Amino acid sequence: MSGAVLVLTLPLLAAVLVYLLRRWPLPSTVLAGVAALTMGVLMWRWPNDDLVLFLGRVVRPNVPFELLGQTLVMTPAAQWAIGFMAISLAGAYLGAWRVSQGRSFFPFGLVLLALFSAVLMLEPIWLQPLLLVGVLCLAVFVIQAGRRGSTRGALRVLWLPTLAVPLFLVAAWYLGQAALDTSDPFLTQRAARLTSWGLLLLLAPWPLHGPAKSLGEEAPPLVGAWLLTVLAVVNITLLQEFLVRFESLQGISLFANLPFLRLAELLVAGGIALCLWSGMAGALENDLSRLWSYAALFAYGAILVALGLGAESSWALVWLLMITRTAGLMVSGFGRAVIRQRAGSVTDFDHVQGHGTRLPWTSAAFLLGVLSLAGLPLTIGFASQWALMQVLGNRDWLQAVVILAGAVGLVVGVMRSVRVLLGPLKNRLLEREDRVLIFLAVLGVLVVLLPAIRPQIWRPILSAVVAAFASTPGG
Amino acid sequence: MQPIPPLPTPPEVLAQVTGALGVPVTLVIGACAIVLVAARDWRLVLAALMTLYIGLALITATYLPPEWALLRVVVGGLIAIMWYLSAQRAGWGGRFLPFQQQGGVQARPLASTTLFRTLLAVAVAAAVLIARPRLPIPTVDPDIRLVFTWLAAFGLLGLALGEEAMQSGVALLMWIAATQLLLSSLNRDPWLIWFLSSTEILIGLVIAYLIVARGSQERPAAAEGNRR
Repeated sequence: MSGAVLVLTLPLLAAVLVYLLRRWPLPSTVLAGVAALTMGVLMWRWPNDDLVLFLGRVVRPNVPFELLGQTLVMTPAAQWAIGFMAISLAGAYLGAWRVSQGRSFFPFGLVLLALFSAVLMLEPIWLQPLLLVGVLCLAVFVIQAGRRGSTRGALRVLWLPTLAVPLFLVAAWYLGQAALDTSDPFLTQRAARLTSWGLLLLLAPWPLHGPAKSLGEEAPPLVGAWLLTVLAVVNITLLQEFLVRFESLQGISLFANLPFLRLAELLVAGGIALCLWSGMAGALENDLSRLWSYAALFAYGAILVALGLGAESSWALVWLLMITRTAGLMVSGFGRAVIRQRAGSVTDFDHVQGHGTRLPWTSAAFLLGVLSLAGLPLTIGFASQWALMQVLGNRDWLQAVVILAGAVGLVVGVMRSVRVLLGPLKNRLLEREDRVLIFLAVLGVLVVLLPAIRPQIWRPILSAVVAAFASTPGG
Repeated sequence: MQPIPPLPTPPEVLAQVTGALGVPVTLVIGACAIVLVAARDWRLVLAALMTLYIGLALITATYLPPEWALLRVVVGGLIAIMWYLSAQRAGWGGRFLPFQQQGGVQARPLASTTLFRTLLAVAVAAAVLIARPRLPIPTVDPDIRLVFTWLAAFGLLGLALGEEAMQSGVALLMWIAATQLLLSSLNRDPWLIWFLSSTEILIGLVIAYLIVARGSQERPAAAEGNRR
């Protein structure tokens, strides 16, 4: 049996069961979480090119599978990425256990996991952005989650992937023509140029960050945290797959007459600008959701910088940033979800004033998570930010200073939030956290703090990343 | 008595109509794109969208089997029906998109924003016509090239101007329609056409959902405005 079959069917079957159990929150949460966690662990443990035994059946993860005339193949990088998406979904489910993220999140999350996995496995690779648009159309339902009012977050998530679709498809046509006429280098160059434009749209550095900001701000917090993670994972894996397969992408400029304007340079410049922009905006925000959204963008900007640095950096650094960002997003997303629920689905400073006095543990989880996204020392985000600073410091210290300025902006935003959360309580009827919420918040705080004390825990995970992405050039 | 000749099948009708029309179809598509970006009346938007898809079907019939061209009409029709039902459910009884009635203020038929959008649309149209020869588009039939460029440009303009679900949805559909027109003329792959058409329907479905989510919030505000 192909590994692709399992990746598609296991979450879908679990989604059906979770849907049937939707009236019983605890069993459906446990089932959804266990299904996601199981899939993540299996993806990370199974060798990509060897036989494994699963429930009495022999599975070969990398064997192609035909579906609707298309082929699905699980490459090592895709397998790693699917595992990561599944484990982060399990984390989101754990946080959503006692804080509703919309009725459909538990079953729909598993369906989306299967479909995002299909995106990463689809061959030919040129169709992956088109399938991504289709999957994001379904994701709109969990982003909006039955909420009435603004639809900006749900709507904007479709923009950039849709715009990127024709670029990839026309590039595929050019490559097909180049195979027929090998004497014309113009065709290959044009294909590489269009692909670079498409990847730029998908990766969305500054000033294309608007959709990600709206998604983070408007989606239910843990849904937003998971989707921001998944989108980054899918797009980065897509970039990796393109770099592996098409050497012509290396060093191609986005304009024929501007040879210095390459994807890598744009990612570095756009990533740094994104860090600075989100730091400045985060410092001035009067809303916890927007602060969280800018913090997520800051950490994403750091990932883009690491991607753009290419050979000077490495895939291990990119994924270290990705893992620490995900942990920060999930923990702070949980804190934000509880505060938002208690404040009546709003998070502006007027409505959350004093909430920290009644919700100290969830407030701590939120604030520490945001500080972790900013890469503050003694948090999980520090190890990755410090590694990035070292790489940048060797290259151009000014760039490192700009990113640090962005981090300082976020810290200012957190300090203002602390002042508001610990200020005089307006809503005297606000209930205190129950034991389960305290347990989850403490768990989140430990997730943020413990790896900072013992950073060597990252070694086995990063070794696996390096092994999965070993065949990839520097970028 | 002469036997009644057999009625032509829909694909035969389409093929005959396509032969008779050429430039007019291109002009109608161009006008529809301008209306889709500039209009604020949702019924006008739906009518222009349906006309656009019929025009695209006529163009597609010139180089693909009529069955495939009819698929464009089916897709456009499904989307128009979904959006019509959503608009009804959201309570958009009046002329305008609901956000035009916020705070009790009613927009006028020729509000400054409509004129501004029309002006922008005309500016983009002029820019497209001037810059078209220099755009990096594969060599295809000049009519297809013009319609592709036109729809893509107006799709981008619609995204830039539209904050509401229906406006953004129209813009996304114009972009995907332009993509499908170009790719189906370059690479006549039925699977790709099916994939793109499915994506169009999915986008239509999602926008229909978002119209309901957005519109239903505005009803109390509109009612309040009417009371005043």
